[in-house]
Amino acid sequence: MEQCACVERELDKVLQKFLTYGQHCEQSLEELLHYVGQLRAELASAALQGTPLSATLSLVMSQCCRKIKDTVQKLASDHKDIHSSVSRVGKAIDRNFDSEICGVVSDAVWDAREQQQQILQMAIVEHLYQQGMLSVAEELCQESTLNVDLDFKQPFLELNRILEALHEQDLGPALEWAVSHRQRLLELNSSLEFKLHRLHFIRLLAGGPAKQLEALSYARHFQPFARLHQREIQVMMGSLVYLRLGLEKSPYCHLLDSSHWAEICETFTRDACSLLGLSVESPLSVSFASGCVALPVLMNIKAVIEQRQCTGVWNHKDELPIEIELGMKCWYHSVFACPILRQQTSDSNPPIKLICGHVISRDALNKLINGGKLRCPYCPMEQNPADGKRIIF
Amino acid sequence: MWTLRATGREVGSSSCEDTMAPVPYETLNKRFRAAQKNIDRETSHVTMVVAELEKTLSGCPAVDSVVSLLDGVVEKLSVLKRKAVESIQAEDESAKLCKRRIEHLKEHSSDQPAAASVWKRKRMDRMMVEHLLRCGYYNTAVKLARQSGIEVAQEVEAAVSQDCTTALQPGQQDNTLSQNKQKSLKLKRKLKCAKMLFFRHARKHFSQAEGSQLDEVRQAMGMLAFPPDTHISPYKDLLDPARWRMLIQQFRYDNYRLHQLGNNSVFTLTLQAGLSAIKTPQCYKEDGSSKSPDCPVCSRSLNKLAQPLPMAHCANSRLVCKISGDVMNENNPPMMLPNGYVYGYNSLLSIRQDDKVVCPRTKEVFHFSQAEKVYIM
Repeated sequence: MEQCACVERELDKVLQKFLTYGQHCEQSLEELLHYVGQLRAELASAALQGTPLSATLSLVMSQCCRKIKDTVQKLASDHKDIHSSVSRVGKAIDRNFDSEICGVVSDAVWDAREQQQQILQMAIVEHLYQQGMLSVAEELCQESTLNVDLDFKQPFLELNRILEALHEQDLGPALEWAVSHRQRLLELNSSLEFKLHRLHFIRLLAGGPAKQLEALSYARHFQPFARLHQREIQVMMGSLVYLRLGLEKSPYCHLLDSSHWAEICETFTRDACSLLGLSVESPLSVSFASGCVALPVLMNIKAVIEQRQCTGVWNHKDELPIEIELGMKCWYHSVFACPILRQQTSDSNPPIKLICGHVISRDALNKLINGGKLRCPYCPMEQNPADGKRIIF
Repeated sequence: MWTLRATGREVGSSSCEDTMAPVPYETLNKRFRAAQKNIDRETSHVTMVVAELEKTLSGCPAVDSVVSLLDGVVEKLSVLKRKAVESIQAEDESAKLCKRRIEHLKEHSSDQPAAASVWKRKRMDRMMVEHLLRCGYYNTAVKLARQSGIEVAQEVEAAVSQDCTTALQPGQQDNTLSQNKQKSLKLKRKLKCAKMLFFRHARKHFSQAEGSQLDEVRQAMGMLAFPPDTHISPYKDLLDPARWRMLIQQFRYDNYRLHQLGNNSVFTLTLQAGLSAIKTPQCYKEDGSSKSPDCPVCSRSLNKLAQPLPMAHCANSRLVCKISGDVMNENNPPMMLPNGYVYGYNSLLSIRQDDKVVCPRTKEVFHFSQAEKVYIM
């Protein structure tokens, strides 16, 4: 990105300057020390011999003094010269980055009650549990003296245990879990149990002809899934033909793909979260990610409002001043905005379906009434206002 | 904090690239100034000693005295060398830190989605670490940082972990901002002292009081006349333990201002913005019937947190089927049942049994054919 590249260029220049200066400084001081050291040795020997200070030595000494003064002062002024480069970095930063983040709402909206801070810490703890960072969550509970019920923690502890086992390619705990939750998994149309069995079978296959008997006897586990996963079972049974040859060279080599392991972790996480009534991504992550999209937009508009001095636009503290595009995956609730008044509908102003099937808000409908009759703004169908039906999304 | 100045076209794509950049840059600046000071100081020492040497040389000195003066010069030169090397190292370090931050920012625009999502996760963890440091949960912050592979800048740690005793030490830049803070601190200190110590303390610190602070000083002095459990305000207020909390708060804020950090953590601000952007009236319906299991604002803790925040602004309709959670559009047209409830066509198909459908919310039974198509502009 251009902005980063700009600052980086300045930083590189500064780093280069520090490097050269550092080298030069050390070198010249070394030389100086060496020179003075030599002089001192000469003088010391002169002192031993008891001779007085000769004129040449005296001259050399004063030259030396001048040299020292000059070198040292040059070092100081060279360093001062680097200042301009350093301040250029600062200017580049100021030019390319906004150094102030202003909140969307007043700063103190969460400070006002101590309780809000507690709830925030709780949300963070929940997030940490869901992400599997159990030790960090524990530490936070301790430091903030929060009490988290055990039954809240319990499912996460178990989940984490199973996931860790899966990462080490140990299918045991996962299978246990899948079997105990079989009924609910079936309701979800999840094929987790089958996939676990399949992975185990494939692992046995990878063991070569020696494992043939074991693989065959394990295949009996597929029986309850025969109806739903017929094709896949056929593929796996077919691969037995190549057992002696080695699966890697057969058309069935895709079974050995290591991505299956990553996929099983994901499937497990997804199904487990559904069973627990949780979304896969913790609510805190989703909110934070939305915030990352929303904040620059809001700061932008705040700057524009301040620039144009129309602060009246954003005094409606109940609603943000601008729409923020978060993408379809953030559409959790239905929102109906009346196409005529361009406002969200509410309980006091609900959406009404006209006879023709078009939907407008009640306020818009009332505005359109002309002499007891109503003409739909989209298809010119005349109708009775009372025929409009309130709908709920 | 740094946010990329969102240019017109980048508003959509540039998420909140925040770093704690003023801290590294300010550190660089600070260290540069310190280095310059050190070098200047040592240079002046050297120059002084050399001047002395020159003076003695102009007279007729004994060789011994020249030798010893020369020793002095050597010593000062070595000190200069050492200090210069140290200072330059410190400057170099902070410049490299700045560079690392910039490189970290650049990763944001990497093309690979996997890398980008790892970066985003790391960014969130980084923000959380800063937030935890501000709250004073140092151990948690360090643990989290370690687990996510984030280095906690020492400057930040220093910025938030100062305590009361060190606060009273005069800092070089402290003067302007900290006077109020220092005043309050002294007030607190005094409250705990016995009378003798009180006078000593008062004499030491209040002699510099000026202007509006004089009134506070007078009040404080007045307290002497009353016993500690007095009910008379303002003396009662001065003794209130709540003042400690206020003091801590004030201290924190002043500290942040000194280091160019805002009052609230970036994490908090981002979270507020995000919650606002997602919040709809349905999240707060009294009977709780319209809560969605996926919606973050409907989840337990965040629901309470988001209550005082503004709602999202929606100028365009977007409809989501209550049964499946899928979007209702031309591919999945919204259908109204005779009771006024609307569902997606595909969902109605999926719950259809014997040509009948049961409204999930009211349990009324209707014929499939009774569902009417609804047109949303």
